[in-house]
Amino acid sequence: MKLQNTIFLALCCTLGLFTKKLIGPFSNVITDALHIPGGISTAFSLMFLVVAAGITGQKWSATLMGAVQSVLALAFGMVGSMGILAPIGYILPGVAIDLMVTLRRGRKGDLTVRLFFANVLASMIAALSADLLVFHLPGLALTVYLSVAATSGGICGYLAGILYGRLRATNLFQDNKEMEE
Amino acid sequence: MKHKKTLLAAILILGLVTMLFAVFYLNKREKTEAGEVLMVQDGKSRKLRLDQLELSAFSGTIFNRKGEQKTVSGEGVRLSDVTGTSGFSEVILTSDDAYNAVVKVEEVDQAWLWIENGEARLLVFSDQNARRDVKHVVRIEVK
Repeated sequence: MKLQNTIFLALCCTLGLFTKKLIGPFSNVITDALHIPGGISTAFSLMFLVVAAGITGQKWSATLMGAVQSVLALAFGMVGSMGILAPIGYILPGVAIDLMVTLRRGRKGDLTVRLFFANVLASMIAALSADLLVFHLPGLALTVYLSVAATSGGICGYLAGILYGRLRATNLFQDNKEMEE
Repeated sequence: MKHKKTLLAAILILGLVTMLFAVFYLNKREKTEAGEVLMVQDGKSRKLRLDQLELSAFSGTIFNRKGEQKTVSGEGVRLSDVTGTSGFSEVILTSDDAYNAVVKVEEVDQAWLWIENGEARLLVFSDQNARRDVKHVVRIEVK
């Protein structure tokens, strides 16, 4: 793995973890109005993992970032409502991103579309794992919670595509052989 | 970006589906006024006014979401004073955002409803984590 890619993964890993706290108050306004326990800020946090996986193209990089994030979250006490089970909520979305992005390299299809669906899928998996482990929401509340996660995942996935395009256009990652054209 | 219109259309569809579910959910959910808790027991539901409860002082240690031990004190009611201590197996307490926790009949003496600023919060003093820290309780179902 190139040093440049490793530094970029580390940067996105940290950004993903800490921007979640920044967007939290804004997302709470929406989730409080909908009477659901969350689902928006995670999608934004996962956007950085999606961009990093897209740019570096390293196999299992999103899973690795999720694992590092979970260790950092446990160390800083940023475990939210999942407590000690927080690593599951970080690692499973990372696996979903890898399955959609880094493990499908070279296949047909536009990468920005895969980034979009990777963010949607990862957000929904994060929401579902939080529900199974902690929230245990009843049917209709769970449906709203998951659809909010999917929508915010879609918006952030679209933003991830834009970020990917802009980063690809810079000279920073020009010699990155794993990056798709 | 290629497929820009397709992706924006997908976001729009997801947003519309979410709105549809949200409207249905918000219309269907039980509504309680501020300072009230819906109590469901023996198949009957009634509104419990928090300002009409006889509060007593409590103090104890709980674990917050970071796993740190914390001493809390305030005014509230023992859960058993609201539900009784027999004739049921568990109590399900649900918050305004649908987060819920179950308190078994043998634990009701350890559970308190902390009443502060017209809101009830569940505290279970025997717990080693914050899983059952239900804030803004709006529904108590005795099963």
